[in-house]
Amino acid sequence: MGTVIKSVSFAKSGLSRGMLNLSKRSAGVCLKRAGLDISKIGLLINTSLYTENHLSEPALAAMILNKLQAGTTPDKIISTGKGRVFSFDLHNGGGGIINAIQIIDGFIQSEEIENGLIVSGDSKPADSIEGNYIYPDGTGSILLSHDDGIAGFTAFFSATFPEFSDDFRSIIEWGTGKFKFEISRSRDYLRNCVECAYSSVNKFLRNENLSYEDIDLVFTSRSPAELARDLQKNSALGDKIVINGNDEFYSSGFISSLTKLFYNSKFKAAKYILFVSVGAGITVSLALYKNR
Amino acid sequence: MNLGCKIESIGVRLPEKTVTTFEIVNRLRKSKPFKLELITGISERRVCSDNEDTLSLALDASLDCLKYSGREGKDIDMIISTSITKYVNGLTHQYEPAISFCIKQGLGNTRALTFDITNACAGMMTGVHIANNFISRGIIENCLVVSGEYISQISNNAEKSITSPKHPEVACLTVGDAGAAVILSRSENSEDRLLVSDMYTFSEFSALCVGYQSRKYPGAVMKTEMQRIHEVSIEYAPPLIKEALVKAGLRMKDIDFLIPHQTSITAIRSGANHFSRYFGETPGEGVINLSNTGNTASTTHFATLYKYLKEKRIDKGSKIMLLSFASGLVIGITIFSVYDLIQKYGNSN
Repeated sequence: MGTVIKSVSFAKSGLSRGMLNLSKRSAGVCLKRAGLDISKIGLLINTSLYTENHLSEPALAAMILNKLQAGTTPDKIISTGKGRVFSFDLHNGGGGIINAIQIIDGFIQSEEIENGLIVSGDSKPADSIEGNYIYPDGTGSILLSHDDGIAGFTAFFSATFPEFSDDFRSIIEWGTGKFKFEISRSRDYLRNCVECAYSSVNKFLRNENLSYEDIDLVFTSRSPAELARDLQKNSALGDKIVINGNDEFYSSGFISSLTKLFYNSKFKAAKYILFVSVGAGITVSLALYKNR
Repeated sequence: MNLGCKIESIGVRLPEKTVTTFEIVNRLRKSKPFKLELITGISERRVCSDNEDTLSLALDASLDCLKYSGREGKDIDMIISTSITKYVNGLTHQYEPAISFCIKQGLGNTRALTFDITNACAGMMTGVHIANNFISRGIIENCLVVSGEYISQISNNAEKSITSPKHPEVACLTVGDAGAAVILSRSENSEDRLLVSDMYTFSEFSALCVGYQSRKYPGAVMKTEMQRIHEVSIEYAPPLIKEALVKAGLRMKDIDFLIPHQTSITAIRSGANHFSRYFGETPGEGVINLSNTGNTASTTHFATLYKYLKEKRIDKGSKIMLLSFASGLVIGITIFSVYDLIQKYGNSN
């Protein structure tokens, strides 16, 4: 039994703006592609980092569920056994998606849910902010489902490198009548991220008795934006690493890359796919996916 | 694999500084003082001083929790930070690194899996729900679920806006700051464990309580349709509680302590009356812990449980139900029995 990626979708800012509208669009398309109704989703995790109006409660995940018109009553849940859903937000810098995949995989493995949905994106935290906020609005969705076959996520790995804890910090504070957003990033941050990611991949592959040759595709987070490019240059994984293009999507960067390849033959032909996310800390999270 | 998961220890950090309800209602800028203490049962609450914030409360609560656990920080397998607020150095909101990573660093841990989750006032119970899944499947042996809630800033902002006792920001005046932490670990004892952990989101009510950054002042604003969210909560909860009790093989009268989310004495009593009519029986004690700490958001259940443990009010084998109502609308039910836990707090009964 495994947890497979059933469908993916990505929505850029266009006619729809803001996290909620973009989330509704990407999640709606994701569900439609899988032919699944929202009532079949047992868990929705939102891993967006930057949200409009800097919403603190409820969890944005609940508002996304509402936008998708999830809705039932306790009596219906108990009498039909259907429509039970739970949701929350998860934050782990630009790398929360792998944590969310691991959590959903856990609830699928324990047979508490059959399907879980991850939504991730960013939106400018306030209309008027000072500072170096650069990320464009964009939201991606991944639908994960129970599968009786051998495909699915087979292993997860996480490591932190506290020696680089001062390398990256992202904050927002109240200034004099305006919000001040600040990202501070050390000159060596990218290099350290690449080294941490590479050493983690080595350790992980050893743990799993796999070699570089066994891995067919590698998707990386967009934190930092140049991670995929520099990891490709500086690791034996080479061109197995998917370069994300020139966009600056942050929380959703992962899904942006995945959506571009998921429905084409390159993804379908790959046997082992590695997901690598790196965030402040430095924190590295890895997930191994075995295709059908 | 389905192993047992138990509550190993609980830790709490309350700020030293107190603010009384009398002081708060007399600071309202646009309204005459009203009988907030009578309605809520809250006399005072703890609030952060200049050197306290989300991270310091969470870290201190974690250290207290470790003290009762007997473990060292380096032995923790997973750390989940669950606070609504993520303030460091005053009211600076930290996006990255995650608060859980900073706690890991503060505890001298090098190996724990860490992430932050937020789920309004159901944050800690959501963290427990996730931890229970990881431990029960044998993925980890233990997990620290922690929350440092520096939430009193919403009260400061509400004082400037409230025009009447029915104003949507009145609920903000009930909150207080607190840190709470719980360590969950694998249980070999088939009785000493979490019996049920159920969480639900009824998202059609997600707009009934919304908190966001103030555009005028540091900190946040929270607007709540108090009456409506209370009505929906007590209407929706009973069938879910009933189902949870059936799963645990218990009846309501078998529950020794029912700890609901601590909002106000009026709301808790109204809920208790409704449940009593629905079930035709009552738990041993419906716990109210509002007078000196107020509503401490995501930390409320474990701060209350900690107080009862310290006061040696809980006996060995007691069945406890935590009941969460949170913005979303999230309803959470956790039922567990306690054995070894009580001895760590000096109770030999």
